[in-house]
Amino acid sequence: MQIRVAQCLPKAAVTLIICASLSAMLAAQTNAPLRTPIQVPLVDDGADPRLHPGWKPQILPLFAPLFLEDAQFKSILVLGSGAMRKTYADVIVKGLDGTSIARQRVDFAPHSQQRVDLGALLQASGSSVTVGSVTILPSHELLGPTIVGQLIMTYIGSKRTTYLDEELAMPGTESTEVLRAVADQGEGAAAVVAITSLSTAQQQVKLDCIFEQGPRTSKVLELNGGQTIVTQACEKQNHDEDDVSTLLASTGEHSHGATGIAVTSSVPGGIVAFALASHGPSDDRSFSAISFSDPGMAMSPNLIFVGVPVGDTAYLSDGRYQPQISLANFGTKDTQVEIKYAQSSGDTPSARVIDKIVVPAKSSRTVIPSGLQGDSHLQNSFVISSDANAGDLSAKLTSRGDQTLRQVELLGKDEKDQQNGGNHPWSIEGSDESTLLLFNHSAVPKLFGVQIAGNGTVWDKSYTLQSMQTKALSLRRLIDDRVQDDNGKTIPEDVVSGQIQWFTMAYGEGKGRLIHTNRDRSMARSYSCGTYDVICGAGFSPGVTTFGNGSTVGYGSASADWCATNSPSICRGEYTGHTTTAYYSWSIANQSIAAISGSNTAKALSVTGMSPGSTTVHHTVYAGFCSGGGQNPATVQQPNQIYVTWDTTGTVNCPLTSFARTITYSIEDTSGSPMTMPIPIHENVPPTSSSCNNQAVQTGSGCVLNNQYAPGALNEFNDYLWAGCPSSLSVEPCGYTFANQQWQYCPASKPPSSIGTVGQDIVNNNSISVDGNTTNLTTTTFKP
Amino acid sequence: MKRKTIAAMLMCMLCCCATLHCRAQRPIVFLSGHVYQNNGKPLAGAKVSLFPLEVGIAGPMPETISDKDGGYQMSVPALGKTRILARLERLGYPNTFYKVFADPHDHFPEVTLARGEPLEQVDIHLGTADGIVDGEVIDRETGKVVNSAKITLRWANDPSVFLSEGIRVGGSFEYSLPKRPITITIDAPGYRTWSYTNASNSSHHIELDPAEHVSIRAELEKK
Repeated sequence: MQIRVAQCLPKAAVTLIICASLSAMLAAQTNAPLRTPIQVPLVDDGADPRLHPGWKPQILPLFAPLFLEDAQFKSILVLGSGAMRKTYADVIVKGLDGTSIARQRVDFAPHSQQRVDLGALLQASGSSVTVGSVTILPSHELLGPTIVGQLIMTYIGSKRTTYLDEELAMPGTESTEVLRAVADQGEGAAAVVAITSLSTAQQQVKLDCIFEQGPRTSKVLELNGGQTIVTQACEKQNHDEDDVSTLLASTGEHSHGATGIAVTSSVPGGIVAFALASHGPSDDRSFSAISFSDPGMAMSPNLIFVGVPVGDTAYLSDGRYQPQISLANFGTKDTQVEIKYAQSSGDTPSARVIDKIVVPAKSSRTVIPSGLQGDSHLQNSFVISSDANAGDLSAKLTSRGDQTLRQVELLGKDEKDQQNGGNHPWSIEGSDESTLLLFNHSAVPKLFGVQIAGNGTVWDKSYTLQSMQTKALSLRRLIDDRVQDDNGKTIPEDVVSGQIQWFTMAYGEGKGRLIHTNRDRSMARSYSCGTYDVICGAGFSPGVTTFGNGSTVGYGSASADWCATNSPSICRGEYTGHTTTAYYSWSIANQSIAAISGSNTAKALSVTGMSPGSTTVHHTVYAGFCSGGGQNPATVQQPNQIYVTWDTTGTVNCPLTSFARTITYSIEDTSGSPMTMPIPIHENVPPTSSSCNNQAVQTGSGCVLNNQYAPGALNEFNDYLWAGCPSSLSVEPCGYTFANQQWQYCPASKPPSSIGTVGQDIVNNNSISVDGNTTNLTTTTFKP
Repeated sequence: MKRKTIAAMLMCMLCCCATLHCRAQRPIVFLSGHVYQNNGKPLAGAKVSLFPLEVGIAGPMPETISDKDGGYQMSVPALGKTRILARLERLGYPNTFYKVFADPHDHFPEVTLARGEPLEQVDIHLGTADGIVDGEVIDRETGKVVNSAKITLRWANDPSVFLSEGIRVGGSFEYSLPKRPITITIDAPGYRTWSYTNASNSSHHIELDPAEHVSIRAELEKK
């Protein structure tokens, strides 16, 4: 079983208390200032000290600053658990004033997803509230952040349905006071923003907007403890914030370009925010989602967009899709922005810089790339890089369709984000499709692990992506084509939904997201919750650990235990399963006894016996900052003699007289003990024919493992001595003779050596003599 | 001189060819099928083996064990015409390679193992399960197990048909016997030959009905 964890640690500020040395190192890498850890309310900081003395996990609450549940908007909370055990999360729905309206405990089976219909939950609680926020409290028993989630909203107030995705925010102890976002081109007000206070005290919140043209705007709001305020982000005058429907409807007809929005709190990590931008005329209105991130948490100025629809696509509704990039430079200096487009055909990537522009300080820009050729399976990605300070440049990418599906929105991921994985719900119920999109934005090939869970089964496979390669994995095709994972398993055909986890070996190597689509309904939803996945242990599946001198055997294979944690440097957390995806290293303590045959960096190890004795084999699995390992014995035995355990002589069921003899031998080592593993043997006898039928006698001259001759008996083999059924013309006695029958051990890497010289065999149809004996040889030992 | 060298080379080549020929193995044939009991149910755990009808044997022969569905598969040498056998002594299905266990009602499939296509669906339908006789061999005086004993089974009406083998360590034996009169004798160094006698009718043979189970105790008397 496997699969790892996840956690939607979004744009809005997250981080954990990591050791000072790591903080210093990361700061040095990114020129980011060191931050002083601050305290934010934790759900629980208690861990099981018996398991990890001195270590306490941080299980942080998750927030959705805005839900809308009325005649035009529907909201559903999608939660997933990457834990290997049953767990739960408490969902609390709050009104704009911060008062709890409804509460529900959501139980999770291992690696499962749950959906909470907020409309039904509100109705069940008798509430008429239509707007507010949601808080999710994961179980305090978890040892790491394994609960992920996304609030999905559906706008049905127009001719065409709009699908909006709101990733959950999880502010942490190192969050700063600032959140930033960029809204794409639209009509009417630049954005309607919802800001939720996480503080119990009243605070001032400043809203700043920057535009492609025109002066910046700014306004200050008073926010009570726990309150959610919804307002037009860039209008100086505040409207009646309680009437959200009016706010959204009041967006006018005039157009605006990309708009940068900054929200500054008086308390670090004291707010979360989410916004909607309006598009289209009032009779065909749609909205786009605007997610905020904490610039103080940015590790690089570069952003990655994975799986961008370009041109025609196989998964989306009919139409051609045109990417549009919105940029906002919140810094105080002009910044040079480079846009690179990476497109893959099959597994062959190509990448080129398609544009370079300057975004002036405190300004925004819109870039609409032209002339792009796209892969129809969404194997297209963008890298937006700049010379800005980390966090100063915000970017958003939307791909706009010219028919029923208006646009697909993508979240940009920080190139050096410390999250190295993602955990997303998937479904192919009905005509739905789910496609996992992975992108290696590094300069060299990288390893990606993919685990697909559903109905209690887990499918586990590694993929190596070339630099700048985007790979699309259609869940439906994986199932229909019965694609085998690295363990030879397929996803059962009756599995139609579940959780999917992907991860890279270290952060900064790759990004991914899952797109959930339905061509018939012109639906496209994107899931891109990130996770911190670390190796927290290692497993070993033994193969042949006792083997013969000179034999090469499959010794065993290693696997990695993975945990969900709060940081790439914390090598412990909530166990999420084991997988074959990891880096491996093998070594043998005494190579004069056993030597590695082939690679010492593959997940499985082959070894060759060099001399009799015992030694230790060490295995290490590692990825990023973390590793695990163990050691196991290897014993090399030397087959030395054969011992007769059974000797049968009898009449064979032939028309004419015919005797046969079956001698069962046990292969013994130098101490006279039975060997405990299959041994390659062969019979060293010359070719001969039987005078009973003038046919060549079938001998055991080929080198074969002895257990193929006597299944069930590890150390035994049978020697049949029989002249064959006499033909009617044969003259008695008839048969064949071996002057000196000998059995040899025949390992692949050494010349054959005798393990038992039996002597003369006289095999006739009416008498069979072995080493001069026609009587029972049971308990006789034959030496080399 | 040159002629001698060529002759020597030719001799060497002939030797090599002979050696290669001797080492050349018969082609391997893939064989598979199922083992069924006489009630049509698949038989798991049966040993499936070969009885070559055209060639002799000097060495090991492949065997395999049927799986939980009675299925078996094995790679075997191209031995020509061959009977495919199955046995599971503890359930009354003996090794009919040896004639003493053969029953006229046995019908094992006969196939030709030759280079070519795999032989699939070679199903083995076993007849009625035989009766089983088991027992132990002990010293009459001491009651201790006699480990060095040899047991011989013969058809009572044709003593030339026999099977003789050592008693396993522990002094116990177990055979599935077809429904026909069979004599049982046991020999051991230093002991008089022991012969089976039916206590109820004093006959010197045993004849088991299908599914019958008889246990005997062979008490050997020192010479």
